[in-house]
Amino acid sequence: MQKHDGPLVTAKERHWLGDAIVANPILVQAVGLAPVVAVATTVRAALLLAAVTAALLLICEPLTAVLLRKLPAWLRVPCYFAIGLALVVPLVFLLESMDAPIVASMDIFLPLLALNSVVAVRCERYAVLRAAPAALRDAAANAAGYAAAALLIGFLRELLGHGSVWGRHTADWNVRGLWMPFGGFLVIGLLAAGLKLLLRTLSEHGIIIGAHRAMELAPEDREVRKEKTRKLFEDAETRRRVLRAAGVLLPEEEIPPTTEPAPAPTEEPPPAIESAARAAPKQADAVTRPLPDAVLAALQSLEEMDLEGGGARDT
Amino acid sequence: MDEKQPRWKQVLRESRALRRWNLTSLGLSLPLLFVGYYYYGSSALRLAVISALTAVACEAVAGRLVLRRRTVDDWNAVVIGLWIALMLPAGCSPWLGVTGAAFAVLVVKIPFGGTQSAPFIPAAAGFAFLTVCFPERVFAYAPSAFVDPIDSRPLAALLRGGQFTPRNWNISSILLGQTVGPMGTGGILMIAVVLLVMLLLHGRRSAALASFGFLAICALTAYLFPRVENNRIASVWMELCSGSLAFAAVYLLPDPASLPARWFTRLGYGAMAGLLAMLLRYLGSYDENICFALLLANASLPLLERARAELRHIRAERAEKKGGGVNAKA
Amino acid sequence: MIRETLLSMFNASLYAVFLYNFIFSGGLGTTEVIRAAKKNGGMLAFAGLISFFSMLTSAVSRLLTIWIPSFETLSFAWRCLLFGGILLVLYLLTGVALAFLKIRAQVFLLKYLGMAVLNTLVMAIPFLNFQRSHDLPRALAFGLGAGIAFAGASLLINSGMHKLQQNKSIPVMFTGVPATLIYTGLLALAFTGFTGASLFGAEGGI
Repeated sequence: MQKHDGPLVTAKERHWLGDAIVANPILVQAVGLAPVVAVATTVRAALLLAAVTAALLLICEPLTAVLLRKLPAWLRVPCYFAIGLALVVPLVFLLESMDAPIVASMDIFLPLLALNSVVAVRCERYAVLRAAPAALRDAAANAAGYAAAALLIGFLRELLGHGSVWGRHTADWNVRGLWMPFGGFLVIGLLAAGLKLLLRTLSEHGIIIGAHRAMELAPEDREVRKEKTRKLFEDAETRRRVLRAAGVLLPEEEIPPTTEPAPAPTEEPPPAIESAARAAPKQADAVTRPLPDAVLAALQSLEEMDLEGGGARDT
Repeated sequence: MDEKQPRWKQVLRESRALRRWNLTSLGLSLPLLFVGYYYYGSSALRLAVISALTAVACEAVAGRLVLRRRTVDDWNAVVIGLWIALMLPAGCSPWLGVTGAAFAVLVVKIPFGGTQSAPFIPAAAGFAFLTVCFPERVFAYAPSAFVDPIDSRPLAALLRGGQFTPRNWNISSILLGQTVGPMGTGGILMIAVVLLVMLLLHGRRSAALASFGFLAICALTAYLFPRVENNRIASVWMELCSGSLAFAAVYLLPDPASLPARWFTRLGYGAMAGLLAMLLRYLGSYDENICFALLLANASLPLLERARAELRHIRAERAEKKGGGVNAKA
Repeated sequence: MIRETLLSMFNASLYAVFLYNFIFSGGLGTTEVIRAAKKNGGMLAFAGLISFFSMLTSAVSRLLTIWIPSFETLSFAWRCLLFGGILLVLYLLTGVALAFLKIRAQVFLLKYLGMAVLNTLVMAIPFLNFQRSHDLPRALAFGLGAGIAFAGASLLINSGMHKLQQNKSIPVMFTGVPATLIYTGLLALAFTGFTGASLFGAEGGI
């Protein structure tokens, strides 16, 4: 088997809680920002936001892995929204009947919780290509990460903005700007920088959390890493090992025979991720002959996403 | 970049130029501080010193920890602290200056790499932050024995409410800054003198183009859409003399980090900032909106520069095609 | 009459773009704006999609409340269900139509339809129209303003991102997402000069 440089922590070896920190949806991936920026100005609002998002993730991701992956992408997205509505609308009915003050304070962002982008992003980038256990693990990680970040942001904005914690008056100051969206952006940005510094420091001291790489790579280092990944996939055995560990390549008996014809050259090539799921040949073939270029490209991007915690790439 | 000189020499030359620029800005700001001290007493001086010291302390600590280098030597922090203090009321609590200066340095300047790299003018952002967070304190102007007792409200507020009546006012009081308003931005005559001095200074002449573009557009807008009833000339004078508009035009706008390189673009940048300033004056929610306008201008500049570069690219492509077409015909 | 209608539509659009900018003063569609700004092309097309669906949702919601007057007195929870349902139905109809139509932009539209339609910005428009009791022309103008605000915001953030990428002095801990968010926050601070407040929620908290 080809020996490769550098640690390669596979999906099984990573702890899901580590992913909540390293691939935090708010502070690293920068998704699901709208409700956090607009209404996570108190701990209570942040708690409600975190609870709804966690419920949505824990329902949608495993469902996508098991059932929704069979649908085309444009049909999957409204399913997430429908599930969100099914969860949020009864909640709004309940809160309205209780005459809860949170209905007034969250205003129209209460129904907008059904449209949290973190759900669509995680389902489309991760859950659609994974088995249910991996999707559930990812949902738990992202739910925990989202909740932790939202609660911290809500706590800071309430303490510094209102001078209170959980509605109880704590201090005499009142920094109005922190209630506002610009205050939310600034708090999230500064916390994201703090998290990056923390992970970098831990990584420099040899403490790895979650993914094998916690530091930001310079662009030239990314190219070197891409080249290493490409060379990795030249060896079929290593390729199979990595794919199986990442949960992408299913056990031999579950792989359906490839019946779709090769796309005509004039047609728009299908998105790389979907071609990886559909065009993967049988196990025996994967060992004896190289995978098509589209699959190779998809696996490369998958590998990068997997190792980076599946998050949005930094600019 | 001069490739013949070693890099350390270029860095040294740039840092000396930066220090010279900031020291000149400081020198040009001291007359306004003197006017503030003359009208309002030691409280003005105390506010300025505390604000400047806060900015220096924040930059010294954050520069070492985050940027891993010494950055206070360029005197930019002192200038930021002083400018924020000049835009505040003289009698306000010193922690207002502390908060504004700390925000300007720690949030607007350091995260983007320091003096030459900040995409927004730090002093403008610091004051804008204070305006949003503490509007009742930022616009609680201090009384003074030198202030004209005609009205207890500042000119900017009177213009906003359409309540300014020219014949009640003494133009000399307005030019000398003897009106209710911020500590150091009301001395219009002093600011005009500084603008003339800038024209004489070699490094400042081209930067002053932005100021002229700004003031010209503000004057034109005030003339076309007067807020003083039946008196366009008075409208122009009052818009230019009210609030911190003149101060922002002469001191804040020519920030070296955000100024464009070419002279024509500087003029256009100033004009755009002036337009945004007047738009905010007419539509904004605060009496003093100039700092928000400067931030919008800073944000719009990269967009305009990219649009300009795209247009040049398209023109070059068309010229190439025409040239290629002519050659083909030949 | 037409002049007054056009003027009120212009005011509504101006309101959505400047006075109460949905993205910077309301935080709506933030993730989509940042993701659109990260891509160099297609921003305006994406903003066009948002405009189109905002106007369509506004029109359908408003027409329904005109034809069925009892919708005006619905509780907040029922309104959530109604507006969410309208958005879902419009999305599905558009998706089905695109899936069967053989047009050049089919792949692009199907790829970005979800992000363009099912986001907080488009969904918020009918709620805001209801809160402000907008008639049909103003509701349409509001929807158009949402798209213009989105386009403006993504252009501003995109140009800022380019500037940040060229800036080699940014400390490592701030590169990428932190600098982008702080930049967006300062942009939002600039727009606060128009409003002086947040678009939603009680300022005093719970």
